[in-house]
Amino acid sequence: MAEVVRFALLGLGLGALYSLASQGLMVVYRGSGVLNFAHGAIGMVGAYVSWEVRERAEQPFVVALVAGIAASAAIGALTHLLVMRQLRRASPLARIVATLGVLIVLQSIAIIRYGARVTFVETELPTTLVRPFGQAVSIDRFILLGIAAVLSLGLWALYRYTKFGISTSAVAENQRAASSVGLSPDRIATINWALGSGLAGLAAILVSPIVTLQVSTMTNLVLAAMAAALVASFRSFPIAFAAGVAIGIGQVELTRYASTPGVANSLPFAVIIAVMIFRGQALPVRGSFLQKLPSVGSGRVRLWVVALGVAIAAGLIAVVPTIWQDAMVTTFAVAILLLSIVVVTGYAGQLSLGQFALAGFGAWVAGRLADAAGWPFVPALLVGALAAVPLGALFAIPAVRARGLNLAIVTLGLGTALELMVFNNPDLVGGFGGTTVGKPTLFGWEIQATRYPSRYAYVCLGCFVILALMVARMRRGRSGRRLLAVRTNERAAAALGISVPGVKVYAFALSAGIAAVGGTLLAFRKDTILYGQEFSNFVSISAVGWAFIGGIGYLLGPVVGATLAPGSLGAQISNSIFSGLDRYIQLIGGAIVILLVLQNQDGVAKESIAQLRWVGSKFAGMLPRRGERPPAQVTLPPERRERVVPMTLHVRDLTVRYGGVTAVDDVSLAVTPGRITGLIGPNGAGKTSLIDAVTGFTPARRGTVTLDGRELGGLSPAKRVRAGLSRSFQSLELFEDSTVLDNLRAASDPRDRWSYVRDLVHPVDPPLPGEVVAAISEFQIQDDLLRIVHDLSYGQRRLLAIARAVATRPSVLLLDEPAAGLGDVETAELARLVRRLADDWGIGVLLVEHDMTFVMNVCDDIVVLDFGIKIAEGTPDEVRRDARVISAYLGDSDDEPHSGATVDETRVEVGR
Amino acid sequence: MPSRIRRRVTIGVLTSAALVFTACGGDDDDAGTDTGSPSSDAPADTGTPSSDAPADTGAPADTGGAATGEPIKVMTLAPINSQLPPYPNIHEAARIYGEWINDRGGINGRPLEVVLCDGRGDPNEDANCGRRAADEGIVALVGSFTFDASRLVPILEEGNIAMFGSCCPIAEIEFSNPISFVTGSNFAIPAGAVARMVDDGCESPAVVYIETASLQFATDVAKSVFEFKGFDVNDAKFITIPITAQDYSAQVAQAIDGTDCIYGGIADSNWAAFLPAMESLGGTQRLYGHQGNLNSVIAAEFPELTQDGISVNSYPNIAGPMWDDYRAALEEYDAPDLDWNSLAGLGTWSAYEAFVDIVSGMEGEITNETFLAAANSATEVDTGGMVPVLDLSTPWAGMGGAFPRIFNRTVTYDVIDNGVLNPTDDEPDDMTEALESYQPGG
Repeated sequence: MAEVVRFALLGLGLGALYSLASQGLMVVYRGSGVLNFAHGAIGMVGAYVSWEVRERAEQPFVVALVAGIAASAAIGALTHLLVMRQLRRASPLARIVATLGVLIVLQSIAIIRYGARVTFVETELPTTLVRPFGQAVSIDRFILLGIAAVLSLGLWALYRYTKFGISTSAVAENQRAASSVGLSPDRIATINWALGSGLAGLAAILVSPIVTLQVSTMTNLVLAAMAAALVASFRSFPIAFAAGVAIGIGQVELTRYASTPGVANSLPFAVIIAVMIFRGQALPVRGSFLQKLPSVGSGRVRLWVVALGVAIAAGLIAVVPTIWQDAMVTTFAVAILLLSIVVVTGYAGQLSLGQFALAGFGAWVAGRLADAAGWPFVPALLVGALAAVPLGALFAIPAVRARGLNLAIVTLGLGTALELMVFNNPDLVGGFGGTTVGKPTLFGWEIQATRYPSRYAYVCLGCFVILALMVARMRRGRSGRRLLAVRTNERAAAALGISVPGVKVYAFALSAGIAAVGGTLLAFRKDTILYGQEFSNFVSISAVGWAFIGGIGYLLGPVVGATLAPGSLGAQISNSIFSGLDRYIQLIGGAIVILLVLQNQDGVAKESIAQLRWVGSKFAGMLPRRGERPPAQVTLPPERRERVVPMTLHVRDLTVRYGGVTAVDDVSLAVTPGRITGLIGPNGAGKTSLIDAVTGFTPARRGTVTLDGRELGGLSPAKRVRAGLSRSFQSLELFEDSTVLDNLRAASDPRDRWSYVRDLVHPVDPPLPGEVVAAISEFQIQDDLLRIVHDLSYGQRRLLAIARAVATRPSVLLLDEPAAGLGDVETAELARLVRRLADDWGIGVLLVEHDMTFVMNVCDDIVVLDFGIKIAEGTPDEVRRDARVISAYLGDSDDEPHSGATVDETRVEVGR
Repeated sequence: MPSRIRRRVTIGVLTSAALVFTACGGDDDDAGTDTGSPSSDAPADTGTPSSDAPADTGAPADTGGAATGEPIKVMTLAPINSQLPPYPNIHEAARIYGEWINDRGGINGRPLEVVLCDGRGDPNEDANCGRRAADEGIVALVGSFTFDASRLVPILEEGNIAMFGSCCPIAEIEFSNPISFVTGSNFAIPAGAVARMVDDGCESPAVVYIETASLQFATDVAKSVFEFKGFDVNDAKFITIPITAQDYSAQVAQAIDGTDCIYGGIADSNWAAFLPAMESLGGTQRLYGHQGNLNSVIAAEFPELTQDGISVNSYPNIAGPMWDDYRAALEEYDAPDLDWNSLAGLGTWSAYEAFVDIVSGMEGEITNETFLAAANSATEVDTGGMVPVLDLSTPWAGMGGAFPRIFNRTVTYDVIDNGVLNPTDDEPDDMTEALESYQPGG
């Protein structure tokens, strides 16, 4: 026990470092929503400035401290004003890549100035030994701990009690609303960037005497500090402090008691994963889908263009010098790896920072099979790729409950743990000498990269083309639609019966297999594989940056992005062009990354494709015309109007609570085939919460939901849809960057799992079901099928939202304010449509709506909620005259009826 | 021995090699300032010959006559413009050696043409250098270094070009390929450090290694050497530290708890973080480290902690008489301000001396193939004490034959006094027997 206490005390110092590093990280995140990967580098600059002022200018420590903090704060403010401000509407991914650009620029400048050497910094804190519990510990560790504690308390108070802190919270909660009350999100973000970066500088100055001053040390510390910030949900400074200290202590205890290499250093990442699994949400909260995403290509490829591209690449391989052939090998192998990022991040929207680790795992399996078991190259490659698939699926487990930046940190953690525990484990990798791969052959043809770089380049090119074509097919098929549906809006995808976890697992698994092929090709270009060196997971962050710059939603993107990798064609070209500027190549590269992110957040590929099309159209214009090209049309199969399977929805004693607030209290109702049941009530009555609970988007605290006698409790939203229960959303939640047809197909596609595999080879689009064609006709959207959703009018989008829900062929349909924002004419038309769904199709409809005319006209029965409690139920006529209902709508405190008033007369007050 | 076992044996020794070299102060200007100039009070009796070195090594007398005839073309490869630590001192040492020897009549009257190739820390660029060597009729790559030779060596092998005089091999292929000639002894440094601790009377030493893939093997070898020296290995403590610098207090606490000496098989960046923690915890143990890692910068920064510490060397201290020409040449040919008392500088110069020693004894055409044959049959390569007289004709069969191209297993020592590394009077230590005490799988 004494030993445990002893090491706990020794862990305080490390814990203090993590706590200090996490504070500024959280400040920047709170103020701007940015996970700043340049945080450590900004701190590093502050520490160097402080050191220069202290040692070279021989100024007092206080002056040096202030100068260092000010330098970091200034860099932070400038980073926001010059870079991040331009990206405020950009995707989180774009902002991460921008911080990577800042990281590269700052580290490059530091390397130019200070080189790779270690700079020693004298501590200004007392270093007297104290002996709590008999263990000697330097008092500076306690002082650091105290500073971290005071800082965390100070920051807590700042954000809780000051106008600035409250304004920051307001901006973080809702930027638009905050602006409307006179707050300047931009100014608040700038101040937070300066404050957070100044804290980074302070932390770096304080810890540099302990860890010394080196260019990358602070960045390494920040990766571990992210765990502490994540535990605190990037919100609570005291929790982050406690978490940082706990992680530091835990790490030191593991250092003492765990002998397996990498276990202690993996602790922060284990914490991240555990937090996500236990605290994440299976589906995001309402409104979380509004973040802008990089655009995505259609996956359509013209084979003659591909053939031409391959011919040109192959021709180049044949004629260029070997150093360029080597560069092409690297480019195509990295391109395969980036293709995996297109699948998982571009298409499925899952921000993975563990792709290099997955690639390394595939290479590890292939390499060990080749080395230890003497397997030939091709089987080893294939088995390596297959082996990575389940590991990718494992990476997807946290993805089910984490998304966005949280997922990025989790995958970074998983990858780093893999690196620490597998790639650096001598028992697993063939020792430090690594794995010797021999002389790979392909059908008896030696393709060893060193001896035959052109042959190996052909293999890499071939692998890339094959995999890219497979991914293109998958994108065009049902699997691609599912991926895009989940990427765009997980809630909407689930509401259409798409298994969101299933899609995520598929995306990670497929991307892992692809990454493994790229990793194996990268590894086998050398005679000996040194896994720890080749597959450092930190490169995964850069790889996402390369993929983003290239075009993360486009198949051409990986080729463009791969040219940014070391040893690639881009490096070869820059070596040729900038031969006199070698010292500045990294700096130039970082600046280019920032500029590219600012200029084009959809990637270079999108722009290139547009330009190629423009050139193509010019050429086509020079050819003799063969008549006007007819506009693209969709040929629809015959429609079929059949009544749905009749089912009755019974909700009994349903209760929904959010923390201490009861949103729905013991409500029971029924929705029967062919009838429309209205669910009304004032704002905050619990209507949407009831729909969310019935459809599985919100857990019910109590009560049962049955569909035709089948208990739905415990089923996921997707399974409830498949059981016959569909819904629309108040906020529509359409797949905005897809076509109308793709929205409908996403809803009506068969949900067979076999298509996940078959789509890679031969995607099959089954004809639209006759019922869906009938819905298209019913909603009169046949002329808009090929239009992108965000080009539609508001009214058309409202109709599409319902049509899409109908396309799942539900027995019971739950409509959440379908008429919101519509004019009187459109509302009346919608009312007729809803009525026909019940009358002609036999669908049972639960209608939540504020427009009382609409409700009273179409509903057969009405249930009224107020503060979560059912206060009335009956026919429209009964409800219209119910005293409690009138009172609820008019806001009277007593239950006395208002003489002569009816609910539909109150529509102006409570409706639109 | 089956190749698989040989590879397993390779574990970890290579780590030490990598660690030693990666911190040898390639571009450390400050380090150069601290240690680059020869010490005027260097002891004369280092136990190595000096006065007759030029004659023995075949190096030219200082005739001042210019070399004529067809040049002997060699290449030196090193990472210069690299994301990894760069080593401009390797290129500079090679350049200066070329100028120095040519101004003294060249090699048997023929000029030495030194081609410098920048590997950029990229195996592709290394391979490119190898192909260029083959295309340009390079006789040998001399005194070169790369972090990853796995693409370079096969190309050199195919072209029958020797990779001659490496100080600090990292990839397994450099230890085993027949075109590779490792003349540095950094492979033997860990064994030397352990043996030296025992010889110095350490009773409860601690061995600190970095958490890497080589850890287990490095530990096993250290234990084996302890036993070879008759020391009860149970009295030694083995501790690991994470590779990236952080607060090492916990590890230091373990290392100083009940020990009297600490050997750190760690890089200088690790020492830089290890020693402040040791200072804060009041550690007073005698320190042992690798040449280039427990270096002059570290010693100067922590003079009290490193007092009487031992740097175990692959090459003798630059102050020694065997480096008289080297020091003079650095001055004469305006060497830039770099760390010249480093593996990179000393290793490159000694590699050229060894190359010239072989070439000057060759008759007939000097080509890559004839040089390779001559090197493989050289039995007494003499550099005048920079490295011991080497027999390159017989691959080393020790340690299961896993490292046949390690021709130098002799270490020397510096002792730290008031933050300065000084050569000791001790004889160089041949660690061959100590290393051979290790039994793979034993």
